[in-house]
Amino acid sequence: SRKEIEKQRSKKAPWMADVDWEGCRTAPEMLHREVDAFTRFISPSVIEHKTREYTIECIRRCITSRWSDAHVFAFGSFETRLYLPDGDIDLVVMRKSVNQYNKQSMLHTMASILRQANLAQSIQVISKARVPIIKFQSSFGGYPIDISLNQTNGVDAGRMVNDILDKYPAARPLSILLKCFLAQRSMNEVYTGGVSSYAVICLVVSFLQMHPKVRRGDIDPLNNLGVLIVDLLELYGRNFNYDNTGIAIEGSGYYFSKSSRGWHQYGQPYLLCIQDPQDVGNDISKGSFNILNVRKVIAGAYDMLTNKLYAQASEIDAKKTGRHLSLRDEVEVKDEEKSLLLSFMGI
Amino acid sequence: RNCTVPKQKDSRLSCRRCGSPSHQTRACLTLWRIYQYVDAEHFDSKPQKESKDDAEHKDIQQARTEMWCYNCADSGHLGDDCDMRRGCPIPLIEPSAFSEQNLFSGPFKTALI
Ligand SMILES: [Zn+2]
Ligand SMILES: [Zn+2]
Repeated sequence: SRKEIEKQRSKKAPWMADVDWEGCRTAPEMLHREVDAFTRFISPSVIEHKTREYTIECIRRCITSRWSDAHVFAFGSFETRLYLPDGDIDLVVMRKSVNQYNKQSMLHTMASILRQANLAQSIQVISKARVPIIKFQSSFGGYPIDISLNQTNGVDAGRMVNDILDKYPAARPLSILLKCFLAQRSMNEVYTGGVSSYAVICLVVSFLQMHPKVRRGDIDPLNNLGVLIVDLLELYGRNFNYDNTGIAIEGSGYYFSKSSRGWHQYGQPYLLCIQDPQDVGNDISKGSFNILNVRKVIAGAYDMLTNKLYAQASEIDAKKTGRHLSLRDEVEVKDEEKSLLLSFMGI
Repeated sequence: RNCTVPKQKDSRLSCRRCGSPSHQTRACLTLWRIYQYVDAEHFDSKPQKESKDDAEHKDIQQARTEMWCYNCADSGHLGDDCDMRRGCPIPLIEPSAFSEQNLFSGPFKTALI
């Protein structure tokens, strides 16, 4: 029925029910409130996190009961809590007595004991990859899980990213928003040329470091999420000189010329270039070969969002000056019409 | 009398909010680029709050005055105001957030210079 369709429609922007509109006067203020509500909505709840923790604990017990010298760690977005509702869990098993030769057989044994313990479904061992992994869906919770063996850098990165997020608290909501935006367009996986979560966080942190108003301390970014998300889309979609400029976030952040480091990729001058905060000799985003399309969708998002902001601003103006038709006031404006984020998130 | 007609024509072409000739009033950046500023006390105490010692205090104060250019990757100016050839294929029609025009606006426009 029509009513049900309407109800379904309002589910497009479920976070809108949570927005605090009290004292909201301008379009960017409305966007700020919505970004705030959206990130609260999309971020894992305590229960969600505990369920994932429990799933990990079951897997940990299964593995350590077979190999008592093994340690199981969760890393990446689980550790930073920046995962999306359907985001995967990255686990690493650390075991000293494993070398290059018995690594493969251990992965296969691990796969079969997880299957026997009824913890894993549609399990596969991907041994030919640069980093061999086991991929499966957890029986409990149905989470997509990757397990790798003796990969230390991921574990350290999670800890470091948490330190950075503590230093730049506004990077959390902006990163999850950008991450969600890219995930909607399947542009968040490096193996398909997209941008990794690690790179997304670096992009956001660099943006906050370089933004002239944030850098000088004129504004607290946590109180300006609305205007800052537009400024961010503007920088990376319309202005940033990808051909020349590389990003570094160490200290208070700086830019460097890609060619001065010899970090130009032959035939792909347009690639994003980010110095690994953990390894100054490493460019973490050189594998994002689809970056031209990423830039295009970011620029498109800027256009859509600013158009929506202009429309919102003239609506506010019309209300103020009383040009607003009273009839329109009586009709409840649907959440998804009011939503500014929906204009470009495309959820 | 003779100058009212061209004037009217002009004002219709340029923005009534900021005077820019490159957009119409309803598509003015000042409609959304509105920052919520900290108060003066907060602005002045930023390095004290974020530093552990005098050296770090000095570093933070130094970093605040820095400008970095998204175009040539150098410091000392912002990307919009760069003298080098623009690398991004999208032309710059309106000043972006990374411009002196944006930096030198608001209640702290002349601070730390
Ligand atoms: Zn204007
Ligand atoms: Zn420059």
